[in-house]
Formats: sequence, structure tokens, C-alpha cells
Amino acid sequence: MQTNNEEMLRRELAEYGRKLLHSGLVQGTWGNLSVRPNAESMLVTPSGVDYERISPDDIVSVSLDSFEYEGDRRPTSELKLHAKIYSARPDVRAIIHTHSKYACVFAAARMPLQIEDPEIAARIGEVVHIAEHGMPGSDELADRTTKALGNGAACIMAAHGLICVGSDLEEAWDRCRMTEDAARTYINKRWGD
Amino acid sequence: MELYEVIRKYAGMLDGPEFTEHAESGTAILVKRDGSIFLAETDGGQWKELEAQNVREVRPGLESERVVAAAEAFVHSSRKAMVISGPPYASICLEAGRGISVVLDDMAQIIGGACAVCENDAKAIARALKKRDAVLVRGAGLITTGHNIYEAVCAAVVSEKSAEVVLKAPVIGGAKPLPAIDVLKMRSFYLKKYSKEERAVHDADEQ
Repeated sequence: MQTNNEEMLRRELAEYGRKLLHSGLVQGTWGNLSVRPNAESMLVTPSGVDYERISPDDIVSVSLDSFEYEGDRRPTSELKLHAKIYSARPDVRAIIHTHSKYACVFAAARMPLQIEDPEIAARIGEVVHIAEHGMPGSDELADRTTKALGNGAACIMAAHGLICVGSDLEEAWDRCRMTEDAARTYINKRWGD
Repeated sequence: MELYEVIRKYAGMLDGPEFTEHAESGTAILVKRDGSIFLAETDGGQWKELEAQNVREVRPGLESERVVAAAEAFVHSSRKAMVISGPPYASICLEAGRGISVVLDDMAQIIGGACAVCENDAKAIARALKKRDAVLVRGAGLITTGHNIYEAVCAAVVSEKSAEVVLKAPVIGGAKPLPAIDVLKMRSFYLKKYSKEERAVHDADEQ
């Protein structure tokens, strides 16, 4: 049975999924979001369902220990990644993973992002580190990303995308936008746009 | 759903600025349905406002230069949807004759590898699309395919993103191509698992 808090979190996950899609930070069904309502479980977006269609009932509740889940939808294939970060970071209550374009330039070049805007640096740190590549959905990817993230707000995943964490979805979402903006500014200043 | 309604529902990503503002050419969508091949074009409008009169059955041998060879290749393809587009960065790669290398996981999974360049010839296009879901075609643009409209549209979006990433990455040292074995593993994983889940959701509408 869902509590009022869980209902609210499910609505928020569906809402922020659409925000990600409309802002261009993800394409199609790619990327994923999660929140941790308690110490035992997380709520995650479903696999293969585009964000325009996701309803609160499509959100999947997953055990952090066993990865068992309830309902008809399958959870995101990046379960292990989200679970690993929650395990390492008790302060984190929300995680958003995107495939945003300018973060992907750094991901493809396997380079960290130096944040040049002091206001953004104050909010997400002076450097967004890069995690070594791991196959999607693998333990390796989860381990390497969690290690590179450390105590930070964001981490670029080599050849893959960006992951941002926060105390809630609003904070994680802000960090995704700011990191993508910083990456865009960095690249376009040097590209000549 | 009527075909134009299905296209309208899933082709919205093609209304984005990268496919409309600085594109080298407009976008066309080919779809197999009920044993026929249909062509949809917006005549400069938005895909989300597509009307029934914008969709018609393909006339073999009578279509424009950018569609005729693609349509012939599509007849023999196992895919059910094809997008022909001219987004700016893919067009730069095409102009340079360089293709789009596979430097991101989503390109590896959705396209199956690097996007090559070929001539605007049905056999050459069919050959290129046998193991990939994207090809750059001289005189036509970026051609992407999928098991349904949604997949073909995603393939176009992901290809254009990769093209822009590959072209801009040199300012920070250049993009690193993924090892071929990793590309094969990711493509296999995608086709077996992820693509099936997406198809289960989207094919229901696209009947």
C-alpha cells in the first residue's frame, strides 16, 4: 500500500522525467531518475517507457538490498548504479542520470569539466570528475561512478552521460541543468559559437 | 490509430531546433503498414501537427531524388520505419565524407556502430543498413531505421547528437572511439533486452 509520501514522490518522479525530456537533457526513454523514501528501498523510473507516458503507477519500488521489485513495470537497467550511490552517500535522497549533449562531449573525450562560472562552482564544485567507462547496467559502472562521484554533486560517466545527486529531485535537477550549462559554455567558448 | 496520428505522436523529437533551424534539408518518414510503404512529409510544418493529407503511399520510381533510393532499400529491410533528415552536424560529417564514429554508449546500442557514408543508391543504402540503423547518404542526408517510428526517430536524434559531440570534442582533446568488442556487446544487449521493452510499449500504437 502506498503512503501519501510515496504517492507524492511517484508524482514528482513522473513530473521530473517529463522536465528532463522537454529540456533536452535526455532523448526518448534514456536516462533515469530515482528517490530514496526510506533506508530499505528506492523508487525508480521504469525501463523502456518514454517520459511523456510515465504515470505515477509506472514508478517501480525496489529493495536496496535484494533488488526485488513490485508491479508490472521493470525498473531501470541502471538499478545497481543508483543503489550503490545511495549505499555510499546517506545524504543523497535523489539521483538523476542524463545523456545531455554537452556533458557527453566531456564523456566522449574522457575529460573532467572545470567549472568556470563562480556561481555554478559554488553550487556544484569547481570540477565535475569523470568516471572510467563501464558497460551499462554493470557492477563495474556502478563502482567506478560511485568512486568518481565521491562526496560531489555530479559526475560525468565516460562515453555515457552525466549523473547528479541531491537531497531531493529539485536539487538533483538543478545540478543537472547547471552542469550542462557549464559544459555548454565551456565548449562553445572554445568552439567559436 | 490512423497512421498520421501515430507519426504525430512519436515524431515530436524531430520538431526540435536541430532538425528545424539549421538543418540542410527537411525530414521525411517512411513507414511500412498493411503491406504498403507510406511517406510522410510536413511541408515545413511541425510533426506534432501532421495531418492525414501529409501521408501517402510511396510511388515507386516517382519520388524525389532524396527519397527514391532510400524507399527502394527500405522495401527489403526488416525494419518498419525509416527517417530521412538533414540535421546540421550530421550534414557536416556527410559533407566531409567522414561518417560518425561511435564514441557514446547510446550510439553503440541504438545504431550498432559507426555511421558510414555511402552513395545515394538503393543497394549501397541497403548494405549499410544491414547491420546498422543509420547511414549518411550523399544527396539524401542522414537515414535512420527502427522496428517502429519511435526507434527510427530516436536513432536520428542520437546520431545527430553523436555527430555534434564528435565535431566539438577536439576542443578538449577529441572523442575516444569505443572498442569494437564493447560496441558489439552493447548492441547485442540492447537488441535483446531494451529494444524489446520499448517495442512492447510502442508497437501497440503503431499497428
